Amino acid sequence: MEFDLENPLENLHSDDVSYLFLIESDHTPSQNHSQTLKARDLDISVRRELISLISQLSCALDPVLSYLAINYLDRFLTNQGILQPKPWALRLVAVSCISLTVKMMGTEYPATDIQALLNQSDGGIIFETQTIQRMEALILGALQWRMRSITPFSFVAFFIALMGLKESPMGQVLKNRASEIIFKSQREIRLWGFKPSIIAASALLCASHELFPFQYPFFLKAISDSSYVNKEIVEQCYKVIQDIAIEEEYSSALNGVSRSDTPINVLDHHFLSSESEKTNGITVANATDSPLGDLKRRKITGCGGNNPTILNSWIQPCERECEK
Amino acid sequence: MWNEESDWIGSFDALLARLAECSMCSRRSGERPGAAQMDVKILDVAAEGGYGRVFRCLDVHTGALVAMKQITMVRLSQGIPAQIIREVSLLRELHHANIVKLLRVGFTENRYVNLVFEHLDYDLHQFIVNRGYPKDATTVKSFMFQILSAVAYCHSRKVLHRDLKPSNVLINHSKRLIKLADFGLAREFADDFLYTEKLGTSWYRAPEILCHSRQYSTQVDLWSVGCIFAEMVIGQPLFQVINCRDELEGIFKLLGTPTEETWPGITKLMPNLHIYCSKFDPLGLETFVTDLEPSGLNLLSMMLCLDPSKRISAEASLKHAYFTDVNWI
Repeated sequence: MEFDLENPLENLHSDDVSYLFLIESDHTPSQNHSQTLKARDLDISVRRELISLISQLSCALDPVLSYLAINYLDRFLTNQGILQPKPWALRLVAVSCISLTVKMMGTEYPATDIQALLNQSDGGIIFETQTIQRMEALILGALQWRMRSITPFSFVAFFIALMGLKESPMGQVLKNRASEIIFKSQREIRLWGFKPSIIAASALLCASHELFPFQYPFFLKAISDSSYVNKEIVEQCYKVIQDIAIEEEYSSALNGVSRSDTPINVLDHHFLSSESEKTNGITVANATDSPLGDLKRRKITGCGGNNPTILNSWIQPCERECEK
Repeated sequence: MWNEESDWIGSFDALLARLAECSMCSRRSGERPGAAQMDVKILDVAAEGGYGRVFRCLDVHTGALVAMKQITMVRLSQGIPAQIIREVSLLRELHHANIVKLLRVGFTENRYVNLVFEHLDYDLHQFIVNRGYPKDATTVKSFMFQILSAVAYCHSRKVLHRDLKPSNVLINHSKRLIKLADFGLAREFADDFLYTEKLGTSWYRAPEILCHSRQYSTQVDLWSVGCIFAEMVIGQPLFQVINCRDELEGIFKLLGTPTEETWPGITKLMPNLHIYCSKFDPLGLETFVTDLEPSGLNLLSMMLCLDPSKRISAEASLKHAYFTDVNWI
């Protein structure tokens, strides 16, 4: 049974739409802080380690939960940094972010399981409840108790409606691919400072450029015309996400040779385990294994390949690239 | 191991002390623990519950009356309770004349979470029980309009309250002003999300929740508001008056057992519907809710509609004919 859910964003009531756009800045790691953090390689590597830890620990959960937990982490880092990271302290931060996410989203996740997560450490460290409580209190204070899930996923449906694809198969395909892009690009610190709506718009444009290149100009216009989105900032974010996607593609290709890049492997495992399940209406496919991934590889080799059929089918994109 | 953790905890507490100075956790160092840390002076205990206590207090800075809700964490195995995190997070971003204001949040003695709210004189439950319920039609209409305004606002901000009942509706006596309170069970809603909790006080619980549906939305709040509406008119909980084994039986007795025709999808949702196959002829709302003008009864019937997809929304309710009579404003 499907209820006719009232979704203010999709109804395009201006008051309702502007609300989420107005408050999303409070749920975005500060750009000023990200500049400061970028200057500290130690903190960048610590963040990467924490993200891997969160993805690892929450791989059994809805991917949206792990995304929100990482959002809490990023906002906590911009507020506090990590002065003297120790393995057990990192684990406590990661688990506390997951715990807060689970509580905020109301998922039934038994306390014993969270306790089990805490005790997964090889070092055999067992945290007392009071310690977890203190870390949660610390994070809540740093984030000023703003724990709502204002993430790029909050805006995807709105932009799909703007693109005229509401409740269409094409819209669902774009949503799935954009969601995958959003998940994977979260690891990238270059996206700090971009608001969730900008990331959502940029991810959708990347997905449409990749999957429906001929309709792309139309979609770009639909999103650019929106008064809620700054066109120049979307363009900047789009370029960053595109770069990340390209690097991701190379890394995936390299995985065939060497699987030494832990974060990617962890995330690949994460998405593979979710691949067959519909989670929160999002079907997350692994690009490496999907036909699309195969197509992308052919596209690269096709430009200089001998296969006339493939070459012919990519004439237009190739010419466009040559013109640049 | 011991030294490492001890050292870290020391710096951790230092961090915690620094954070306690942020705007949401106002505090001065050196003050005595407890109420003083929250910049309030306790006057008396206003309420007690399983979660903790509510104190009536004076704000040290403004001299205004405030209410401090103190939640004990000492026996909890899961750290800070989810209800508190949700209540604060959501109230933090809900600003409306008919929603209670959260002034401050803080921790004391590592044992309590304290939430300081604006103070209101009493709740609607007390109002109904102690003051012989608002027989005045104008008061009922005014209260209903304010409740629906707050609910419509919450829904537009993608927040479900999920525990609407008279004791969660606060009243400012002199202004006859209504404020919704207790967002501990509130949550955000999204398109494809399945909710896992069975909740809300039984007399105010929507039938789709009682049927154990995990996919519900804003309509659950409208059902609760309908129950409150009826209670203001008749002076006691509607589904308490209809004495039955369980709430569903009471609902079906009043409104009739649903069929695939009246509630499409009901047989899939309730495979055991045959338990109620004695198929009640509806007693009808008018049997119990007397003394309500026809347009009010019409609005009530649209709120207490079995099929959630046909139930009226808060926004549409505000435009109903029941509220178009200019005299009551």
